[in-house]
Amino acid sequence: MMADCAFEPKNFVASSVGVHKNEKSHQLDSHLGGNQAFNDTIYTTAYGQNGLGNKLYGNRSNVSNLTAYVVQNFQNTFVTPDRVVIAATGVENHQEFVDLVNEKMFFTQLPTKSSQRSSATYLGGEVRNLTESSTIHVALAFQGASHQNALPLLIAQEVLGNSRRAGRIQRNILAKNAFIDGAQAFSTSYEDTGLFGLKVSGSASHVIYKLIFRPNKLSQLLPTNSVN
Amino acid sequence: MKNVTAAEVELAKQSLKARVTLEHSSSWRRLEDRIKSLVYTGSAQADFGSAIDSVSVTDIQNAVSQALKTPLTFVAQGG
Repeated sequence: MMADCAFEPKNFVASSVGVHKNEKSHQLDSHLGGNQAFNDTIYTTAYGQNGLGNKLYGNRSNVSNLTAYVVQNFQNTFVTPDRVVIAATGVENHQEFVDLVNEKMFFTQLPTKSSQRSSATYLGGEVRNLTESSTIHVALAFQGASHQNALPLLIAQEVLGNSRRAGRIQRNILAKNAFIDGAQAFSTSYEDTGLFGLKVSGSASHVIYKLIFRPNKLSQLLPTNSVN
Repeated sequence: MKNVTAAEVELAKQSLKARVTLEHSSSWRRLEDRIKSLVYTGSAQADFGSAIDSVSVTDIQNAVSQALKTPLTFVAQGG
């Protein structure tokens, strides 16, 4: 059943369902607030307008372009044998499961050629989306480590402090600045690259004054492709 | 991170290991991590506890130092 779901829904009905689901998810996204939008902005700033810089849930304007052809083309390009991992948990008889998978996959027509994925390229940059809101969210990030080398920065994240554990950030930033509501380190890793940094949110007037308009070293750290 | 102590790192390691253990209380999350290990490292039998223990203070300092040499990403959103 799972193989059928992944490999076989190459028809108009399936793509129509996809279109409607995406429309609903985008509507839900707009109701739930801007945390995802903030994360999307961080990634677009760090990686540009492709690869990891693309919005996680895609662009709302592209939802209506999801036709059966687009769905089929996506499956033919990306659902290829070298990209498929079949994993299971709670399997009582491993060999029986392997035989079952082989039996099913033998009859499944998968394209043999897969497209080469371009690796993510970290760029860095600056974006300021300043509004009339009384709260501001600020992120400072650098290129982190790929999945294979993620552990040192994950431990550094724990030392600095995050949403689960109080660390240096809580002691040195939150405890000393009453206008900051939240601060946490983050470290995310992918196949080629990662993102390591700090997110701060708080009272707009104070944070803007201290972190945005008076950062003595900020201009030296920013790359030349920064935009306002 | 230049003045990070071994004690701080040890506490952080314990915290990270506790987080992994908590995450892995779900069989779906265990399966997900094993798939990632298989794809990225070629082995599904990743021992996260030992891997975390093997990270030294110097490894952390070097990783952070390396990260800070890359261009800054600065995003401000709100008032």
